[in-house]
Amino acid sequence: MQTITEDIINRAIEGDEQAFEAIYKVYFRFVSNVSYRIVSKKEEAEEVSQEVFMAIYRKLHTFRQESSLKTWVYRVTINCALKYAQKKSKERKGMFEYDEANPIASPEKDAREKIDFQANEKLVQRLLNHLNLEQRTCIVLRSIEGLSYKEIANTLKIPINTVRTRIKRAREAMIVLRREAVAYEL
Amino acid sequence: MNCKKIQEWILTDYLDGEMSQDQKDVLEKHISSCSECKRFLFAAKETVVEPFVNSKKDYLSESVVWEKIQEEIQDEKEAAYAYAEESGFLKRVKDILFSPKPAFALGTFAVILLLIVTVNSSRQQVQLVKNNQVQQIVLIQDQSESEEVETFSQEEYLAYFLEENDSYEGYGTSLESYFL
Repeated sequence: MQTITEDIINRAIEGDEQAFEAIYKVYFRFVSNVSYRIVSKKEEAEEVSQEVFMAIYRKLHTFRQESSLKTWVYRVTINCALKYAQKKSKERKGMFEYDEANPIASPEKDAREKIDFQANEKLVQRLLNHLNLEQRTCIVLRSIEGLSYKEIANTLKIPINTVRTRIKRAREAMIVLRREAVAYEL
Repeated sequence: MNCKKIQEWILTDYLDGEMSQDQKDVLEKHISSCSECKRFLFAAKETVVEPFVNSKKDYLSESVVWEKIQEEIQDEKEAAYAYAEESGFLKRVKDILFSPKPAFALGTFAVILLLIVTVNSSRQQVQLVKNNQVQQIVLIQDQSESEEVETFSQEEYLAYFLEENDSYEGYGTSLESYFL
């Protein structure tokens, strides 16, 4: 992965398209994955990712280079994704949500070997849909993107203990959900 | 160390590798001797860690999103170019019309004041002229009246004279006839 130097940032600020593309290539994977896991739909995640990079394109000159570009990009991503998810959540209010109304079904009754890729994807999406936006954000950043508690705290501008509490509650909720699912299947 | 506290650690710092080696040693020692916490650790790994580790991470196409971003950047550049174009003559006219400067405001005020003063004084002059004309008309009327009086007097006089002449018709005729 290419390292984003101060020179690349300055050239991108001055409108150098290649420099901006370098930034895009380094952060696309993070931005697109986090967007997808927070908004849950591919088309919506594309919109959010586009919005994130346009925000970076327009506001890169406001980025103070003494802090990390990575944290700044993460923060822009989370802000855009959460804003979008909240807007969509308001629009969908009152609509029937299958995932909330039914306990999740385990992809396969026993054997972990039989869990195929698609079933795992469904499981991940259902687990995430069961969480509130704050818990979901922390789980996506920790369990999918592998950020440390400190990095999550810096990105979300919250104390490290709040990160710990959100992750604990999220995981407790997911365990309860799985137990209900197992009991439902039996 | 009780099981509740151990399970809290399992769910957070232990599973996420945020523990110091000393804490980790304490926790693992407990797990090795507690079957309930051992089961909890196994269930937690399977339920809340593994599904995410194995999850797909490339749902979106890098080139598709980049294409859309480039289109949007191009649109923004064109809009900025159009604005710059407009900022020529039209913008200057707009600026003058819609955002008057203090100097323009002062000038406008001075012109308006001058106009008011000019119009007012010209109205006064018109009034004076009208008054003069009225006076002149009155004078003329007076004169014409006096002229009428005079004229009347002359007519009267003439009539009188004629009458007189008439009354002295005999003399004139006789005198004429005398000279003739």
